[in-house]
Amino acid sequence: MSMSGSPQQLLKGREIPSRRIVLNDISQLPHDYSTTPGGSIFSTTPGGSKIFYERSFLLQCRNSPLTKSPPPNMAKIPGVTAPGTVDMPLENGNVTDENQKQKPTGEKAEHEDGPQFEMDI
Amino acid sequence: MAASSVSEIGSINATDSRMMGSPQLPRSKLSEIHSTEQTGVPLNTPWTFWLDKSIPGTSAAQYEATLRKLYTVNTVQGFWAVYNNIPGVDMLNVRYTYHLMRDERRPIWEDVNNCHGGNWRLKCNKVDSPTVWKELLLAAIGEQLSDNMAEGDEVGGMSISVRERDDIIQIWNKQSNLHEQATIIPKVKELLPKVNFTAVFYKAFQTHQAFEGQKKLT
Repeated sequence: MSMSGSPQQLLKGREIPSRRIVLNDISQLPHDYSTTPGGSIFSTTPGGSKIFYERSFLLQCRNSPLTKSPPPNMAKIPGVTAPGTVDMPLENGNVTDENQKQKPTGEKAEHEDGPQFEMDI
Repeated sequence: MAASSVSEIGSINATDSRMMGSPQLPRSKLSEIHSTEQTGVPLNTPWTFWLDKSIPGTSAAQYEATLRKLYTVNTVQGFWAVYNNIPGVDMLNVRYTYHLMRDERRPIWEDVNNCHGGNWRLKCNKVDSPTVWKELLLAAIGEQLSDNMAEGDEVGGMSISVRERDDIIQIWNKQSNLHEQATIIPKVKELLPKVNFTAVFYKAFQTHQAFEGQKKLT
């Protein structure tokens, strides 16, 4: 499997240079010890630094062979992620019963008023 | 000289045909593919794609029942594997909403990760929706918006709702009391200079009349 120019390889650049220094007192800490140039501030991010990606890099990954087909266990929703007509009645929250009984036909143009959340400006 | 190159070609062909003879990939190759899928390029946090169909006037519980989790992605490749293989925003029927939420938090005001937050709402012309949605998702998963949030706050998710006229974009944050320090709206306009956003405002979830408090849902 040829993966030349793949994002995985692009990421494997080189390690961030670092060095170890023994400190005898807190005052010996440099002012900027916690910051990564162009990156995040370690001390404010629990568990380490944040991972940032530029738009151009993310777009490069779009054509990776891994993105050609959906994840095998992605939810199958008829009419959206699976073939078939759109079927999400669930109007009264009674999922299974309503799904069986009323296939979506006349219930579509029922609620066209107002947005999902009230727009009280 | 000629003879030696002929024999070289001959030996290469022999190897080729031996490899082509088997229709199956060797075990090592299969596990390599598997591990590539597992690893990919890691995202800063997982993100979950959700879909819902909105019905006005429903309770939080009823709304929750219309919610469908599509998939949680951990890698950039995983993100595209979902994005590339679900209908674009322009293909969704009216009243459907896509959400991309950080981690596995649900796109519900009362969710423990949202109940102290709120969201910015913007409207945009349907023509712009696919571009707007893609750019906002990339900015979110690339954490390009974190500098535009106050310290202690974060973008918790993005939503796009398909409506009759203009589509509605929502940017969720975690701490409504910090929203005034955020510079997210100028950032969005900077990312999408050609798009005309209308009806831009922020609202804390707890100030909605329909807010049911944190404890109603677990």
